[in-house]
Amino acid sequence: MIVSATSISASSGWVIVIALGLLWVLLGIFWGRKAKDADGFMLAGRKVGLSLGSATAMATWVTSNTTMLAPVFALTLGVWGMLAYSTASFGLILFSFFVVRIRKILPHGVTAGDFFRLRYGRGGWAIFLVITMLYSLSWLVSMAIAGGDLMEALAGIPYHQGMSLILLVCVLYTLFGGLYAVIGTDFIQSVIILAGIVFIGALVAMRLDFDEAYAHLSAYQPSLLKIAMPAALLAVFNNMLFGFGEVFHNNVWWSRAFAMREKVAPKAFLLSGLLWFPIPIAAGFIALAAGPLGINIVDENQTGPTVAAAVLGQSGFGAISGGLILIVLFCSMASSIDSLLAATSDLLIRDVQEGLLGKRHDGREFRKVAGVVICCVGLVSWLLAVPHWPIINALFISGPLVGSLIWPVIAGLFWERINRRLVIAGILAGCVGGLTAYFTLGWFTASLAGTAISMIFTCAARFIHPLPIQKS
Amino acid sequence: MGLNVFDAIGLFYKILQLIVIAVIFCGVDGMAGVVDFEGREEVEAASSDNGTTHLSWSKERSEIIELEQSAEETFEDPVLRYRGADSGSVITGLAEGVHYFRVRGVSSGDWSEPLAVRVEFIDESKLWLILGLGGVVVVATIGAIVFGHMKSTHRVSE
Repeated sequence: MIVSATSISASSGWVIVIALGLLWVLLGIFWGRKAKDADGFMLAGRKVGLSLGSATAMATWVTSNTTMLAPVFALTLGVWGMLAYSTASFGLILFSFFVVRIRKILPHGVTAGDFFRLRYGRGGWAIFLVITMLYSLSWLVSMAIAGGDLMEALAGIPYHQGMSLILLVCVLYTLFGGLYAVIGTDFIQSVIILAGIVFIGALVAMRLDFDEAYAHLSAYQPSLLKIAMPAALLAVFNNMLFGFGEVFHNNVWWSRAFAMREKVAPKAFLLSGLLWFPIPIAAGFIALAAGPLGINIVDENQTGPTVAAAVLGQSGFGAISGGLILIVLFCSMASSIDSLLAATSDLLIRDVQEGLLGKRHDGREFRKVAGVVICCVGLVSWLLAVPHWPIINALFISGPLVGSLIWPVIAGLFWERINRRLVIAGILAGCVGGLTAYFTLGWFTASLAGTAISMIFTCAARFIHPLPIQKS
Repeated sequence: MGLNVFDAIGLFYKILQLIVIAVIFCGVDGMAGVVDFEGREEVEAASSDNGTTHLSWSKERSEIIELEQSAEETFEDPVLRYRGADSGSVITGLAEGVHYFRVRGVSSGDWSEPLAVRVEFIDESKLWLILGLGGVVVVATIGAIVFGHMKSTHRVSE
C-alpha cells in the first residue's frame, strides 16, 4: 500500500487554516470585551464554570504531542505504550486534589510563581522560574514546529508559512481576549478534537478484523503484545511522573485553578482527566492498526496522520480526508499554543515584571503591557521555531526537571513544617540526577530518577530541622 | 591497401561511440539493479532496546521494491514485510534476537546483502529494580497527595 501524507492541495489547506484562524480571532475579540481588568484578562474573572473549566483543561492537555506522539508510543511500544501515554491524565485527576488547597493558601493568587515565592522564598522561586520557562518555551516552540510540519505534510504549505500562520492566529486571539478567549476557543476545539478522534477511531475499528489483527501482531510484531516488554513497562512510570511534573508545576494549570469557581474547580479537573484518558488510547489504537491494515509507515512521527489519511481514503472520504485531519490537528495545536501563550505571559508579567522588577500595572496600562508581553513571547517562539531545530528533544529533556518539582509542590501544599533549603537542594539534585539518567540509562528512566531523588530530599526535609512554612 | 587519415579518424570515432553506448547501457542496467539499505553500518552497529528499527533504501523514484525478513541469514522461510514504492519502512515490535532483512527492486530481481538488526531488551535484573523503584515512587506520590488532601479537608471541617 502506498500512502501519501500530502492529501489535500495547498489552496485547500490555506482556506481551512485561514477560515479557522479568522473564527478564533473573531471569537477572541468577542469574548475579550468581558475582560475589563487584570483579573478578567488573566483569570477570566475567576468565574469559569464546570463545562468550560473541564473542556479547557482537557483541550489544553490534548496537544500535538497527544495526537502525534501517542500513535508513535503505540506503534513502537505496543499496548503498554498506549497505556503509558494515557497515564498523563492521572496528573489532571490528582490536580483536582490540589485546587481546594491552592485557593485556600492563595485566595488572591494569580500564578504558580506566587506559590513558589511564598513557600520556598526567592531562591526556590528563581529555580522554579528557570525550569518552568525552559519547559514552557520548549513546549510552545515544539508545538509551533509541529504545526508547520503538519501543514507541510498534509497540504504542502511551506513550513515557515504554516508555522508563522498558526502562531500569528494564536497570538491574535490571545491578545484580544486573554483567558476568556483561550477558554472559550478551547471549548469549541475540544469538541472538534473529540469528535474527530472518535470518528477516525470508529472507521479504523470498522475496517479491522480483530482476530486477524491479533494474528498479524502476534506473527510480525510480537513485542507489541508482550506483557513484560521492558522499554514499554518503564515508559509507564516515566510518562506518568513526567505528566505529574508537567501539570503540578506549570502555570497553565495553576491559572485555570485560579480562574475556575472554587467549588467547581476540583470537579472540572477530575472530569477533564477522565475525558482525556481514552484519547491517547484511541489515537494509539489507530497506530496499532497500521500493520494489520497493511499501511507502511515511513516516518514514525507521521504515524497518526498517515494511518488516518489511509483509512479515511479507503472509507470513501477521498480528498476531504486530509482536510478533516488538518482541522482536528490544527485545533489540538491551537488549544495548547493559546494556553501556553497566556500562561507564560502571565508568569512574565506577574513574576518577572511585578515580582522581580517591582512594577505594578493597573487597568488600561495593564492591557497594554500584557499585549506587549504576549507579542514578545510569540516573537521569541517564532524566532526559535524558524531554524526548525529539534526543540522537541528539549521538551523531553525537561522531564526530569519538572519531575523534581512534584514533591516540593506536594510538601508546599499539604505539610505544615519543612526544611526549605533541603527541598531546594533536592530540586537541584533531582535535575542533575535525572539528566544523568536520561543520557546514560535512557529517556524512559529520566523523570523517574529526577522525581525519586527530589522525593528523598523532600521527605528528609520534613524531619531534619524543619521550620513552620510561611503563610500568606 | 592502407587506411588513410580520414578513415582512421572515422573508425576511431565509431569505436568511441560504441564504448560510450556500452558504458551508458551498462550504467543504466547497473543503476536499476542497485537497491540497497541506506546507513547499513549504523543500523547494524546499533541495537534496539524496544524492537524498533528504521529502514530506508536507495532506489529509483517510481520503482516498486520488496522487503523481506527472516530469522536466518540464508533467508530460508522469509516473510514479505513490504511491497510498494515507499523509500523506507519503520519496523516495530520485533522480538529479542537478530533479524535479517533484504530488499530488491522488483524489476531487477537481485536481492541486497542481508542486513542484520539486533534487538536487545534492557537487562531483566535492572528492569525489575527500576520498575520496583518506579512503583514505590508512584505509590508514595499518590499516597502523599491523597493523605495530604484528606488531612487538610479534615482540618477545615474541624
